[in-house]
Amino acid sequence: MSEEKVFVPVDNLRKLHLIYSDTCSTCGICADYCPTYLATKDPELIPGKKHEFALKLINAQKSFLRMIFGPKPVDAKELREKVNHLYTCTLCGRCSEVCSYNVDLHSLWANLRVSIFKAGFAPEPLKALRDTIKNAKDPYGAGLDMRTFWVRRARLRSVPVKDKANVVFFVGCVTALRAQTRMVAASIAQILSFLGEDWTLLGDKEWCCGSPIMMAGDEETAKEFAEHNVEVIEEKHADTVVVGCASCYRMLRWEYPTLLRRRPRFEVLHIVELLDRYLEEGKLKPVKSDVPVAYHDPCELSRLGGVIKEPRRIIKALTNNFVELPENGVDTRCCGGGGLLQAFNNELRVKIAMERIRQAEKVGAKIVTSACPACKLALLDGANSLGSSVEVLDIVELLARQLQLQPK
Amino acid sequence: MDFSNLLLTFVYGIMPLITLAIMVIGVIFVFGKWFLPGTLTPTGGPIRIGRLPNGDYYINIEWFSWYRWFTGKDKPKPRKSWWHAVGYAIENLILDVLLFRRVFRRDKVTWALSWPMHISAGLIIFSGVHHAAHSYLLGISSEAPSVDGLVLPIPQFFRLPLTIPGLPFPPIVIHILGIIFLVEVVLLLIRRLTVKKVAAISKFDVVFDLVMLICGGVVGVTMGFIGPLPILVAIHGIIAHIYFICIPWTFYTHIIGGMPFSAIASGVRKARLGV
Repeated sequence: MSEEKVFVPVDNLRKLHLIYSDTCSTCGICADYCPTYLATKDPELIPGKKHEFALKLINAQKSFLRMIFGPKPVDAKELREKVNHLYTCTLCGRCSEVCSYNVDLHSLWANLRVSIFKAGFAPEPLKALRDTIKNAKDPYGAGLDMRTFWVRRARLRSVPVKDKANVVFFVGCVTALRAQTRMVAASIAQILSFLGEDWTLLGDKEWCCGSPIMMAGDEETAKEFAEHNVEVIEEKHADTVVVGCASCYRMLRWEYPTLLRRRPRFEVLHIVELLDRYLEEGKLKPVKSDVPVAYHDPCELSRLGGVIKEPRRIIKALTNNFVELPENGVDTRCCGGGGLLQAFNNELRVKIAMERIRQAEKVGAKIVTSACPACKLALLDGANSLGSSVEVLDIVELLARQLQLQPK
Repeated sequence: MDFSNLLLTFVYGIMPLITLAIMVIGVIFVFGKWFLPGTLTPTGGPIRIGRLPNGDYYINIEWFSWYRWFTGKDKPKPRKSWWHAVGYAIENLILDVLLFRRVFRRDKVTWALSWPMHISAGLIIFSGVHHAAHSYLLGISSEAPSVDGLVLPIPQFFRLPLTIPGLPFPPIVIHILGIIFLVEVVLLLIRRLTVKKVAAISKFDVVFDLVMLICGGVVGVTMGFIGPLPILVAIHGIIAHIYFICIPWTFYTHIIGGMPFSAIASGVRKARLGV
């Protein structure tokens, strides 16, 4: 019986990816920093091992011989198995940060997902997730009319949905639709109103930012979503878009211009960047506490987004007892909340999150904050699984609490 | 001409040419994969053509788009300037490539094994041994001039590099460096085979290349003790040839790729994010 052979076109890979594919010397250092390997000890999940498969896929299409004689098919059974390993990844990018050769493995994994999705070999749960997002415009299938449901649930009397405003608050699906994170949206809304900003929501015109679609590998659909979101934001004539989610931030700030081949006519800020500005200007004067507070850097905000100092300055304005987690900043340890791992292997996600909570306990933190709703969910799950007493909050929730803002 | 001279003539007169030919073909293959736009023939698929926002077409060669990336309005605005990117790239080239900063930060034991190994190898290759630079023909035939009666097929070609001086180290220093190199490579091989996570991801070519380095090192160090016996010279030469042949075809491509390009790209990424 002949084995099924398939072609996986890797035309979306750039020249640098081809160089990266030849650059790994399998030194194995990445293993000690990969959250999925550390949680499972499965050698197939070591980035250096996944790299071997990446090289095989790439050489089947892009080696010099293949460029002359045409692409070579790969074994479908092996492909399916290796695809599972490739998607058992939080896309935290720590392997890129620790690689001895500066190889940007994160970019390689993300682009290989696009190749695999195009070839139809993406894991079924992620294909289903992509379909849900495509239909409902959010990963939960809630629909656009549920986008502002959090306003009522958070007991806010009103939030503006205007035709024009200086600032657009792009809420994001997780923040808007998950019970554990809707207070993040409410806190941002309260703070923006407290600051007297001329701001608005997009309301039912806000679609998913496209980050989970990109992570599943469907670049084309992500581009459609980007086009829509940019169009509706630009209709508001806003100068600034504020986001509270690290994935949305990375998508809007760094990926949209690349996807759309143009820079949108607005500045994208994570809420912590905006709040840091206001703190510096003295417009925010929160009450300081003595509670030990730790900050978990979301990978997509710090390592992959470049926002590191701002949240620390905010927390230092909120507490006299800021404690740094052991792996932080650009070298942050993933909480497990990224890369669609929740949809693909939730058990592993929680296991990874538990380790981060243990670290918070070790440094004596009573509150662990983050600046991403996906991190908050993962850390909450980790804390619950451990039975930990560490309180998990988003940084804006803590700020709203210490500004003593009440729902209005 | 006796057998040993015939062997040496082959090893140092003919094999270098074969080695260079295979190496050059390998480098063309590697650079063809990395830099050629799209594919060479219609059987391999269409040539990749990019399109600018104004409708113009361009051939998609990533390297030429870097400048556009930093200045073009169709790309995300980086946090730091183009000059920061240049600075970071140079910093990476010096610290990450020459001093193995990234390895040092993450794994001091591996650094203690790999950095001295690479540095001693570099010093040995570029040092003067037996009246000629060890780097003679990419380190292939440093011992050749020391062998009496050696017949060289193209004498002018082979004599030319002898006029280039190597690093002025006395033989004892080279000998000590050789011992350091050998010990380090043996330890690296032990790490490869015994550390579970490293063994799991090590491919055959990695282990093979380390074994070749050990063989070459053993013969080289032995010559340091007992002098350049023709048979040792020949074995050392054959191993060196195989080593150089391997460079573009095995994991040694990291020498060509990882060192310059990834370090530069990482500098650009750093400037982009401003971290």
